[in-house]
Amino acid sequence: MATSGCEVFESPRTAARSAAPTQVASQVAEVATRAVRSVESGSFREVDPDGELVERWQQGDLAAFEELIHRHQPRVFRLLMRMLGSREEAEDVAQETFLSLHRHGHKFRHDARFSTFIYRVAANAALNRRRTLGRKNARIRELQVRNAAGDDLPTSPRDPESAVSGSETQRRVQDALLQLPPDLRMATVLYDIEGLSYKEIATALNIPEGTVKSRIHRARSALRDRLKSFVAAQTEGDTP
Amino acid sequence: MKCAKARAHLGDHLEGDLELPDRREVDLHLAACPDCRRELSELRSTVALLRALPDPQPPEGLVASVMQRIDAGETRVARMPLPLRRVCDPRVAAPLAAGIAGLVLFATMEGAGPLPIADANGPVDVAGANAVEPAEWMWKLNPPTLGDRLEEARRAPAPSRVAAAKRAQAMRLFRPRASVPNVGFYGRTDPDPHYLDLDAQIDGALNQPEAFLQFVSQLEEADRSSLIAPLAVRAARRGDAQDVAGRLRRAHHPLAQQAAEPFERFGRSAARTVEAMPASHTR
Repeated sequence: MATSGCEVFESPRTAARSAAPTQVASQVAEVATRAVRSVESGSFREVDPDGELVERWQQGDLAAFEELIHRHQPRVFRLLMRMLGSREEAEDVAQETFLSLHRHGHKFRHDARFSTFIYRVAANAALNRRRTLGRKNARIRELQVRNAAGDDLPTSPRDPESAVSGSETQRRVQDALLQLPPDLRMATVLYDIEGLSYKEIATALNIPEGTVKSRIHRARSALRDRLKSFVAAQTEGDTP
Repeated sequence: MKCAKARAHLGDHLEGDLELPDRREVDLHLAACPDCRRELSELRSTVALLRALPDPQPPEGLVASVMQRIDAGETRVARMPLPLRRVCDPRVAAPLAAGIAGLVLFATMEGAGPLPIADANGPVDVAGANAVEPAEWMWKLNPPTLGDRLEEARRAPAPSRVAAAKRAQAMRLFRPRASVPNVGFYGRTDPDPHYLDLDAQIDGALNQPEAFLQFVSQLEEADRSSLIAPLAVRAARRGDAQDVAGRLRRAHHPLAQQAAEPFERFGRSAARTVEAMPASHTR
């Protein structure tokens, strides 16, 4: 499968963001047939775009491992940036994620997509960081991060308009995200920012789908309350 | 449909996850209720704000430094405290690192202690005590079985101090006697396993009153009564309460009288009730 198709594998939502509608329809159909085949075979190895690389890595090929982490580093870093708020911390934890992956990778049995698995490793590393720092230290560090205004300015905005006028908004949104309890934050970052489905998040975090849904809803309510002023400004335009 | 119920469904409605009958009801309610409409559009805007966050660029040398570490045999990242990290600006870091390395080398040569080196024993764990080993289930993407969860619960620290104290008490000090009959106050047999735990603790209070009181003294005031009261009630049902009270009173401990008091109180009222019962009811 060509590399351009890799993005479509993630979820219909990420597909819809990038591709045209007719393209999406055929690609979704292809995904569906492959998914059925994979369920029948019991393993994700054939369906996974990373399947071949993972296989080579598990047989000892370090170059394959390097290619794997190169492919996935953008999404790992994005997840960690949104979860931790600080570039330094995100770098640290990203390195730890990949090292942890290297150390324990032989245990991965390919019973889900590799990207789901790497999300699990990254999520675990991010949540564990809180635990090893101790709750008090983690809170102090979060406050420090939030006070250090301006060192996380965006470098590649998806929407060019927001690049200039939106950085204040983005800082507020990131700030509000950091104020969420970590489990709610993780669920909403994985869903709304990474674009995973409920099922993928449930697999990655090892929690039931119902819990995923309720965490996302609670997170959104909490964020809406925190971002009252920004949200109100936007809804001015679209009440029917 | 009332507002409260509609609000509960708004999250699913936003995602298009609502089934038809619910969805129609919510739509009808939204058509009539401006507050809920505003709530829905606020939620929609919040999601839009989240999705508008830009993609951060990962640092250039991330993959390279990971591979470098792997080649060097390192498997974990050493955590540096935040103030020290501020110093690690590339312009400053190099000379500073050289200086620190020099100092460390000097210290080692003076016999201060061995540096960790990768040798035949395997790769070096530089992070040491700070790093957390991921739970085993993490590597199995199927949901954890009951066994996994029990295993983890056994290894994980208990959420509250009273719960931890109770568990430590049950496991270390007291061995539950299987022979104690679970006979309720009116002669019923209670299969509830919770009663076994209480019985074990009451036996402990009977056999080792000093240890029991020592344990109680470690708890806070509020926790003490929540520990002792159910024991006293259960003891009263067993008919043991007066015995326990006597044992506790005779123990040499500042808390003896205070701890014995609930047992005595419940024991007395239980005795009175038993006397009032017809003679056919036995213990």
